[in-house]
Formats: sequence, C-alpha cells, structure tokens
Amino acid sequence: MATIVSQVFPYLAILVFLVGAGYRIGVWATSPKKLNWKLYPVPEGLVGEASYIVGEWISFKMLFKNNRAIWLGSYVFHLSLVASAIWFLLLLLGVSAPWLSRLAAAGLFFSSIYLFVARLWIPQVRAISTPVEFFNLAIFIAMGGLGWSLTGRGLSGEMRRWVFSLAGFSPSVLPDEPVLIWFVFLVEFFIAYLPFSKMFHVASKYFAFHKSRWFNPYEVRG
Amino acid sequence: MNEKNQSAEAKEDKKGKPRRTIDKYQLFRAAHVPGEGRVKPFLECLDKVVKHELYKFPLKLYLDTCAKCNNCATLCHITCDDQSNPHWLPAKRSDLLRKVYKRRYTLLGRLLGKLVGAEDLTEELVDEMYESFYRCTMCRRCALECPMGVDNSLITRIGRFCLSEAGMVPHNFKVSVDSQLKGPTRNTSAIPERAFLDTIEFLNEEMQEITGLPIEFPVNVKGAEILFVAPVSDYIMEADTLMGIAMTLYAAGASWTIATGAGSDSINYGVFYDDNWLRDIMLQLHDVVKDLGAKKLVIGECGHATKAQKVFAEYFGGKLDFEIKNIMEVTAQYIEEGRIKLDPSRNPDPVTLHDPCNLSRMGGLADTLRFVLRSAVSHFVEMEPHGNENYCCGGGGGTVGFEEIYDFRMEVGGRKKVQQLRETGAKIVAAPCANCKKQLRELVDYHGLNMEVAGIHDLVAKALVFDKAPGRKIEVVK
Repeated sequence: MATIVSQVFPYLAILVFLVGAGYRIGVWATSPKKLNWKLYPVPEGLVGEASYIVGEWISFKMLFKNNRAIWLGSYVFHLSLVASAIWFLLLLLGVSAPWLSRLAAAGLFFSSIYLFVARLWIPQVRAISTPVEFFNLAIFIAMGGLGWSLTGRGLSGEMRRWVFSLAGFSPSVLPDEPVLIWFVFLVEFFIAYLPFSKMFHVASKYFAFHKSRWFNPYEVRG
Repeated sequence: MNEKNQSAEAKEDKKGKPRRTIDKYQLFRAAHVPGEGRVKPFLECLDKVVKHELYKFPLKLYLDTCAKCNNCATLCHITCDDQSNPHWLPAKRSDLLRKVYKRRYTLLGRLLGKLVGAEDLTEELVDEMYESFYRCTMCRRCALECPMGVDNSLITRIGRFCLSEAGMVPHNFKVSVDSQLKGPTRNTSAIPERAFLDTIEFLNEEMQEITGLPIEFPVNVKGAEILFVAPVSDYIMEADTLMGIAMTLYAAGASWTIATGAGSDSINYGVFYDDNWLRDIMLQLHDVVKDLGAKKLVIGECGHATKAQKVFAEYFGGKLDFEIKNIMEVTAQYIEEGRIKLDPSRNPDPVTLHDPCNLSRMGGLADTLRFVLRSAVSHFVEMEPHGNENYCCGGGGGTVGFEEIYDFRMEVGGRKKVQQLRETGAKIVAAPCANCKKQLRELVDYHGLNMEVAGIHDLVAKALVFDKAPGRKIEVVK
C-alpha cells in the first residue's frame, strides 16, 4: 500500500487531474458564446470585472449578505484550503510552519463537519442535497482529521523529500505509517476527482461571470 | 423506468391530472397537452439543446457547478421569506433538469446514478417539471448573487423549451402564439384590423380632446424613422400609457408610425418557452420594420418584448440595419436633448417605481427609468430594494397570463412585492411593463392596497408641457 500510494498514485492522480481539468476548462473556454445573456450590474472593463470577482473570492460577500450560517462554514472551509496550500508551498521552500498545518487541518476538519451537519440539519439545504454533496464533505472531514493527527509528528522533512523525489521522477517511499498513507491516498483521490466534481467551481467562476454574464458577443468593440 | 411501466402509468392520467404535484395549485391542462409519450421528444430536444451553440456553454456550466448552498432561495421573491415548500426552491427546481442532464451526459451520472443526483427522465418527472418551471418567473434575481454565477432562469427556460417540444405548453401561450403566427389578425389578442383602427381613432380623439392639439397615431407610414410597437393588449388595457407615448413623440417632433397586422404587437411569448416561436414572431416583426423602411424599432412599455428583441434579434435576425430601443430610452433622450419639456409639479402625489426585471436587471435600464420618472413627478419614493436588486412582481415569465394559478401569484409570488409597495407609502406605483402592470393591479385589488398602478408615460403625459398647449388639466392616471 505504501509503495503504490507513494510511487504510482501520485502520477496517476496528477495525470487524471490534468486531463480532466484540461477537458473541462477547454470546453468552457472554446464553447461558442452566442447568447447575449447579460445581467446587470455589469462592471466596466477588465479591471472592474477583476475587482468584482476578486472581491467575491476574498469575502464570499454574496453568501455573507444572504446566508450567514452557510457563509461561516464555507468561509472557514475555503480559508483552510488556502492555508493548506500556503503550508505546502512553505514546505517546498524548506520553511517549517507546524502552527499553520495545525490551523489548516483543524479548520478543514471542523468547517467540513459544520457544513455536513448544516446540510443535514437545515431542511431546505437537505432538500437540495444528494449523496455526493455529503460524500464530498466526508472526504474533507477525513483529510482534515488525518492531517491534523499528523501534525507535530516531525514528518515535514520526510514529506518534503518525498515531494522532491516525485518531481525528479525517482519517487521514494513514504514511511509506512497507516495514518500518513491514508492521508496521502485521500489527497491523491481528491486531486484526481476534483475536475469531475462540482468542486471545480474554483475554475468555473471566471467563465460564469465574465463569459456568460457580462460578455455581449454582438457588442462592437473598438 | 421501462416503457411498459410508463405505459401503465399513462393510463392513470386520462383525466389530465399530473402524476406528481408540487403544491396546491395546478396549471390548466388543455386538450392539446398530452398525458403520455413525452419522455422521448423531451430528451430529443435536450440532446439538441446541450449541443446548440446558443446554450452549450452556459447550460453545461450552470448544470455542472451548483454548490447547493441555497443562496438562491434567499434571493427569490417566492422563497425569500418562506422556504417551507422545497419544490419552490430555485436549486430544487433546477435539479429537475440537472438530474436528467447528469444521467444522460456525464460519466459519473451514468455510473453512479442517484448517488450523484442523476436520474432517468420519467413521465412523473415531466409532470413535476411542467408545474415547477411555470412557478418560476425567470426574473434572474437568484442569479444576481449566486456565488457560482449559476443562472436558474436559463435552466427554467430550457426546461420549458423541452416541455414545449413534448407538447407541454400552457393554454394561454398556445392560443396567443397560434393567433400571432397563424391567425388572420397576426396579434396575440386576435384583434381584427378594423377594431384595432377603431381603437386608434378613439385614442386620437381622446388625445385631441385632452390637449387641443392634432395629436394622432400615424399608421403604416412608410419611411418614418421610428416604428413604434406596443404589446397589442395595451390598446385595450393601457390606453393612458399609449396616449402618453404618442403625446411624447408628438411633442418631440419625432418621425414615427405604428403598424397594423404583425406590426401591431410586440409581444413575443416565444421568449418564455420556445426558441422556434421566438424566432418566427421576431422575424415576422422585423419584416414589417423592413417593409416600412424604419430606422428604429421602438418597443413600448413592455419588459419581455424588449428583452426578446435586444437579446435575440442579432442571433435570429442577423446583422440588422435598424436599431432596437425601448421607449424609455427614447423618451430619456428627448428629455436630455430638451426636445420635450416636463413639469413635475403636475404629478405631486408620491410615486414609486417598480423595476421590471427584463428592463432593469436584464436590460440595464434602471437609471434610465428613474431619470424619466424623476423628470415627470415631484415626489419620487424609492422601493427597497430597487433597481437591479428589485423583486419580481410575481407575474413574470409569462405567468401573469395563467389565470389558473392566480391564487399562487397573489398569495405566494406577489407577497414580497406587496410588502415592498406597502413600505413605500406611495399613492402611485409606476411600472413600464404591461405584464407587471397587470400583476400589480391584481395585487393591489387582492390585498386592498390604497394605490394606483400606472405606466411611466401616463405620468409623462400629465407632465408634458406643449408649446402650443391650451393648458387644459388632464387626468390620465386611472
């Protein structure tokens, strides 16, 4: 198990991710835009559009304004993902930030549980949920929980060496610790699954707002 | 579900009752609405739509990326204050089409079915869609603040389109579109040309009596710059609005005309449910514009007709050699250019504005409507929220014509609007849209509001200062 998770699945996950993400982004990017389906307000220029989208990314203001309970869980959840990404970058740079890994993992764990319970507890949210919504959150609960339990165990160095060995196409094998192996396996599964799930909205937002909502294909542009 | 089972269930549907209901209301099933055999044509239509250049991109995007956060329900006028019926939730409604899409076109949907929210289309699901997609008014308020940018109204529209291809069309749409495209009168209300011209003559006499000026509706004038086309129902229901527009165009010295036949009606119900009819109705009107040689097609106070032309004209009509405007844009331009003068003191009562969704949120005319109205009245009161964020009147998406769900429109769809109207304390609500005005009048009557409903040009007419006017007092708001 440790060998396959360390040496085979990482490449497989990245390959599936690249193919899936490339396909979906390719479809969104190359599909014709013939419908002038504007929705106002329409920000002026690329700067206006960018500030609108970035403003939403930073604050989740649409949820904050209308749906505070879901906003709380969703905001902490996404912040935890960002914190995880920053921790990973720091790891690659050789900077140890155990506090950040704890924060990210705990944030992910608790916010996912919060969202899972909210999805069950709030009748109207439950009414629009299907098993896959709970499955997605369950993955994050497991990743957050396992990741949290791995913090403070001095595995950063091992992880860093493993990542670099992958990059050099001479993958090493991770320590045969069940928690670590399951954690890495879940991360690999998530990477491969992401482009085929609705969680790929990280990439769809640009198209949904710029291309679909604001762009008029018949407007004469000078 | 296999064909045998579907056939067995179809036999239970001889009385035209839906197999699956979503609330206590129900659309009237005319004889033309089939009770079986709808799955195949629905799916054939969906197959074409998901590949069509108009819809492939947005439809797939919207069906693939909903986060199921229910933010849309907090924005919708139906569910913002009461989410007790899950069938009214916008995301739940969109899921009716989403589950079929997932099952038919996505890998995970084919493999995992209901686990990923994918389901085969059944006759019961068709019945549920028919009711549900006609509760939504396609006002697009839910899309305004969807974090994913998902637009449920487009999903509703495609759902209605596929239902139409399966023969599931509300009675009112069917009768109106048949009359407009196949009837001898070429208008939705089947008004014969003689009756139409008699009405015009009556309106001409009214305007001349009110103003003492030789104002009239020019008819079928070739070479006029503007072809003005109102929803034909305005000639019966909104005479004050039409007279206000005629007075405005007269005062501005515009070169304009109205037309008979297909040019007498801007209504295009195709925009609500079927692109084939949308295209045919649109091109029929474009032919009139070309025959008369007009440079501008100006649509009256009508939201959906304006949207139909502005959104779809260039796609279905090709490169146009005439401009398309809403009358509000034209009047605003006349005010800005000083071609007409308005005396707002002639409208002293507090007036509020209902933003038609098709003109403000979808048409970008929120500021234009305010500019004209503020120029014509002395006491303007904003509704909250307003402009792009305004709530639908509850009769949009063509639903105002469905008398069979009148109770739904009054008790559910329109309740937020009633609350908004009450809070303004205004005596008059101005709404530059025929559909909105009908719904608002019904709401005012049903809920006993002390308020008049008017078009913006009803008030513009009252405020118009004619250079040669005899100065008679006019009362155009009824």
